[in-house]
Amino acid sequence: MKPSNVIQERVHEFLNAYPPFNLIDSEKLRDLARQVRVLYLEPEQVLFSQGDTAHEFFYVVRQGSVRLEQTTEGGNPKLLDVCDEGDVFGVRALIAKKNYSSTATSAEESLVYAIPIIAFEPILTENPQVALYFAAGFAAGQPVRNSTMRDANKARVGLSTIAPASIPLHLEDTLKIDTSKNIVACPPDTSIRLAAQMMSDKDSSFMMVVDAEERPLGILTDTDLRRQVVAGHVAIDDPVEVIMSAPVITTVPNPPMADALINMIRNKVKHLCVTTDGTINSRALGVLTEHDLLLAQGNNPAVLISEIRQTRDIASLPAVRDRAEELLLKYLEQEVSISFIANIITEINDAIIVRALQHAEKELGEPPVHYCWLSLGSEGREEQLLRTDQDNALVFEDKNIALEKEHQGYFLKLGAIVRDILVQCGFEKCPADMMASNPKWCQPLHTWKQYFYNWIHEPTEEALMHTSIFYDYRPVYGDFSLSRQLTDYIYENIQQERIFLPFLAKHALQSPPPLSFFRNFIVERGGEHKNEFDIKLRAMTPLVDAARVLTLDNRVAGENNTFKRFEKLAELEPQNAELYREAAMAYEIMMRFRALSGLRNKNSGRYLNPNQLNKLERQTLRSTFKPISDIQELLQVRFQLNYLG
Amino acid sequence: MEWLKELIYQLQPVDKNAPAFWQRYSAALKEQPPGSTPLAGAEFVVFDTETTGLDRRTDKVLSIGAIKVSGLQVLVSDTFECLVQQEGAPSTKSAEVHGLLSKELETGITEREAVEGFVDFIGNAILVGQHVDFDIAMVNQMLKRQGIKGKLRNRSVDTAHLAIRLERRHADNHTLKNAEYSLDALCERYNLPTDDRHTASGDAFATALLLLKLLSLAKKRGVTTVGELMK
Repeated sequence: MKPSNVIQERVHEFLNAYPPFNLIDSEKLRDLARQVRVLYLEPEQVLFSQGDTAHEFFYVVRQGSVRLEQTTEGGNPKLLDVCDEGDVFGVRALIAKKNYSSTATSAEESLVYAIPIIAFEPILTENPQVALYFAAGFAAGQPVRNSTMRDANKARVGLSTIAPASIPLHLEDTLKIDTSKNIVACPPDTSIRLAAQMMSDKDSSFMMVVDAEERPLGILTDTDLRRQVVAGHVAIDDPVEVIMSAPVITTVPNPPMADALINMIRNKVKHLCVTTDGTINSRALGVLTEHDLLLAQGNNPAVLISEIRQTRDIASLPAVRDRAEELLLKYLEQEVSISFIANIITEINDAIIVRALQHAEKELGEPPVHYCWLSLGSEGREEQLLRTDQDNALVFEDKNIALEKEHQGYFLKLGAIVRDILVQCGFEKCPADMMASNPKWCQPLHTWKQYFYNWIHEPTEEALMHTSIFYDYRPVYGDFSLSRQLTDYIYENIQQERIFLPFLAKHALQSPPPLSFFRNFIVERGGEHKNEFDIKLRAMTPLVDAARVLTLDNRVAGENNTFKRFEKLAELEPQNAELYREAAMAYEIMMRFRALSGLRNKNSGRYLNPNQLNKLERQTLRSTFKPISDIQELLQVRFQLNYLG
Repeated sequence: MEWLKELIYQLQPVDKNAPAFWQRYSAALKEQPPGSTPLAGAEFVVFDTETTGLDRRTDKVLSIGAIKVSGLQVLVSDTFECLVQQEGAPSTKSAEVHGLLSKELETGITEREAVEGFVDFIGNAILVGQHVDFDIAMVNQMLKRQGIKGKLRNRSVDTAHLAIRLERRHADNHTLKNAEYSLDALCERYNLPTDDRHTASGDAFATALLLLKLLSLAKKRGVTTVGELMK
């Protein structure tokens, strides 16, 4: 094979920066790069037209951007996609061997690499990862019909560099960690220099210091080294016993995970020394690290929850909630399933609310009548991963109409205390004041019934908006029978009012699904979030709204969670099961993106910055939009919204 | 008067004593495509030389990079690249610009192999380069040193001149700023990628992309054939 020259190397380097080319082994890619042709497209130049016989090439944008548009029978051209640097398009010739299904026009001056199909085909058949890339529909303008969200998600996980998740164990399981291999130990008179060298050689984060009988005397960690040696507090030739931590916290071999966790938390250490009998008076066998626990279990939600429940000091809640966020990040990085993560975070949030309510009741005295605290919105749907704003309400018993004002006074105070605690814990106040501290949303059961009666029978714009927020309520604390009575009442009324569901469906279609991106991304045109993408409004809300109205239509009660709603719908409507599962998975992917974006930027994560997403992430996200438009089409047809005007 | 020179040349018999590569070249040049050839049908070779200096008589070629443009596409598969072994070290200044160290040049091929390979590569294509006259002169000098009686006679396009012609149709000559027509300036103006500049191949690639851009601009100005491009 001829060696590549500078030009070919340059093409190779460019391709190697983008999927699927970065999945191809270097020699084969080099060979492919040699066969590339470079095309210049002036603005609005058409590279191929819909219906044209497929070229012998497919294309990659080197610079500039290319629009893909599709004209349906008698319709106007519909923008499918805008490809920018590194985007692959015109692959129909490669995959389907059919005429082009869209027209490619340069949106600006562009340079495009043409890649001969004949050279690429062997790679496609030999390399399953490359095949997966195309199967997932990641190439631009690819018909998404023959790809599924499952493929997209598989590709997202499979093609990313993060290691796949280990399945979290249960807290009651015992930790079976092979400690024999990881013991790195030295006598107390060893120099710090030598100890550091040994730790570095063995790639260990610690060094056990043992006596002549191999009993643990102390432990030296990389943190100790950093703090003490690097900071210059001790000399590098001092013996390790000067800086080691002693006594060592010990454990028996294979302890239950919960014990190990509590042991670490209580003693504020990250290493436990495993000894024959679990005390410092027997031989050291190995070391159990926090990292081992994380690997085995992914952190410790149960401990967080029990801390929240047991704490006497309400002021310690914010710190616990901060730790929950670290847990969230770890879970996301480990690709733990979103439904599991959402469960855990909901449990933690609920525990905080309950703790706050108990605290408030203690301050104010016993509540005068039964009440029920309701979480609304995403918290109500058990989907709130990040600490976005509070949405809650309170319903209390219809007991004595004459005393209602007085009762409300108590509950408003209760609501205000809880609100303030939640603010302390990082949940901002609801900007629209949809909180139990607002008299309007702190009402006896009969008033709530009246609210819903009005919203259902007179579905004005405002009523529909309220329904979408308040309908997803979930009882968190208090007398759950109050919430059940309200739910029953709502169902009765919805079934009587035939016009309500079509209106709600129409409301669900209000935020249009994103069809494409500017430079591969739809971004907000103006305002504070110009050039960012509002994932909540444009991608998540349409699915949440659709799931709600469809479950109502199926008379399913008591399921709030969007992906569980879709799962339920898939059971009830086997003919649409595939679409519903796609939608559920799309929603999970969106939740993951939003959470990661929020954690990265320390905000609500609602506005995604395209620059912070890599190509693969952008492509995954884009593939989630297909189920949105499919679901919306289904709503159109089912509720005959075209006739609704 | 170009047609006349062309005619005289056509009438000359091919030098039977010339080396085989030069005979191949001379034969290829007799079949130049007509001036009416549309630009999309023309074959170009975009090239650049790195030299020991700017003197056309005394300085020497250290490397050549060339790439074909055909059907208005840059053919990455059709490239020519070589380092040339030259007597004596390259001047320091040039080594700084091109990063060509004498050590590297020792790995190169002889001047004879270089010029033969290059001439075979270009055939009768239109030669394109940034200040292409200089590069052609440098190749001619190599030919002369190799005892070839004759020079390159391909049609040629200077991308700097072409840019000036297309951009400054109505402007006066004295307002022309040459710095605005350097390869760097042109690439920046036309938003073309410019990594790997200052190697012969890197410059040739950048110039080839610039050529595509200029040909598209030429088309808008009504220049659609090879003949019109040469005007």
